[in-house]
Amino acid sequence: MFNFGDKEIGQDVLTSQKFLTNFIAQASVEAADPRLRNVLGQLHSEAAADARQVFDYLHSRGWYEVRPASISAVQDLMNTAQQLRQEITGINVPYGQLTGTAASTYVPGGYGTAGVYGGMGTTGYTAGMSGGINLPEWTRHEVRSEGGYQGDVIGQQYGGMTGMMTGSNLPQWARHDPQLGQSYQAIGGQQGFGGYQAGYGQMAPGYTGFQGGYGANLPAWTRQEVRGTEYPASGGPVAHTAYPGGPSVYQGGQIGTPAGFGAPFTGGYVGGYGGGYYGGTGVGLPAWTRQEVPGEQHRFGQLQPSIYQGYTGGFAGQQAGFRGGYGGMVGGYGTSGYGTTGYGTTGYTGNLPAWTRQEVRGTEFPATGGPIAQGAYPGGPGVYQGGAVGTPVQSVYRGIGGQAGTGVGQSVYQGLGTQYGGGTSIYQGQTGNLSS
Amino acid sequence: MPQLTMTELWWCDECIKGTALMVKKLGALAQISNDPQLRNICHTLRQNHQRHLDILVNQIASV
Repeated sequence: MFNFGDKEIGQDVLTSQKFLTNFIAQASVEAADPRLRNVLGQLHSEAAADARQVFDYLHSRGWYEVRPASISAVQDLMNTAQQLRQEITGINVPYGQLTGTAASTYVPGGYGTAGVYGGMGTTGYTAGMSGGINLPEWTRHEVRSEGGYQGDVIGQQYGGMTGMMTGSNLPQWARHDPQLGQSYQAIGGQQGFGGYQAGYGQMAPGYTGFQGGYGANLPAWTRQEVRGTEYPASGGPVAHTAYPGGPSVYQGGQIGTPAGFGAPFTGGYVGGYGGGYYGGTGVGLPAWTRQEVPGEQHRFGQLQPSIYQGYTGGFAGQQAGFRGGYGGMVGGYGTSGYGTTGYGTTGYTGNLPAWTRQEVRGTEFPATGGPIAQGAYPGGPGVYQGGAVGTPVQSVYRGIGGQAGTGVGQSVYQGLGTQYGGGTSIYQGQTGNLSS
Repeated sequence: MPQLTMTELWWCDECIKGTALMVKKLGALAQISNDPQLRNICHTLRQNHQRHLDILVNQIASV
């Protein structure tokens, strides 16, 4: 007959006790009634204590061996856990991988003083626009915003696409940043999503960027107005600017032309922000796209008016680009009350039709402690000297603000431009001045 | 008074059966064990399971 000694008795009790303990625990979580759940939970706690009592008895007599884990096994587990943590909480995980949307990775080129931002730990604004294979050729332009920050928008094609965009189609400058050496996740547009999802990280590299774009094949519900965000200024009013849409293509910065943008932290950020936003509309888009797309207005305080070169530059660039194809003439209006931006004048190419030469009235910017600079600028032959595509021509824009008995806003744009709608250009905005 | 769901009833039924079996089993094992410490453990656990059984029965009866 089988010898059923104390060891076997104890092991049998422990096995039965563990089984029943686990069973009660499962019964507890299955209970819908809170009182029953509490009762079962209490029973589970006591049963686990009983199981521990039996375990201690067996272990004390060497009938229940426990083998310590090796250091290497523990280390392997730690590595696995660390990797999983990074995957879960890592900031480099793009949305696309999580949601199934397209994503691309690129490293923007050295631009401006982007390294400064990286050093401050304020990286991460990236943007990407993924392309739809059915979009017209004109959409396949590089669009790069100014400002030196990593808010560069790389547009292969506007519009959604599915799948992953590796960075292989991006230009070389977008793949390397000698100063930062950080990777950025650019999120491509979701298919059928015409909106925009801005994301910008501070203190976190490689955050999100734009999402979406325009696609001629997108469903109708995506064809809606995309309105920008207003950013109230610190100590100043909110500046509203409405940009009438039209056939225009914003052509952002030129590769390898730092232009000194983005010196401060805030400079580049906005630049990248705007560039992506205005990157979409173009000549070949259907009529529904030609609608108002208010731009973002970013204001900063007046304490540091002069260092926001990058900011001004980038933001002006997007305006210029946006209006480029439109042909209107928007005078620069100074906001020297803050010493912030100088909005430049954008002209048009001589090939634009006459109807584009219309008046576009500037926006009023109440200046703190100063008069309002108001500009009314009748359209006309623009001063924009656009070079041919692929032939950078340096040009200077001087938008003189309206006088209206109050003041004169002045802003200067320097750009290497080609034609609107093609090629690339850079708009360097400078701080506006206000003089009365 | 809330009524037990079928799920709750099934789990309670299984818990009661398992607990009752442990009460019987621990009583029998306590008798055949040679180590007084193990015997004492079996008695303690048996009492606990008996009490749990009562709690479960009372809980179902109160619903």
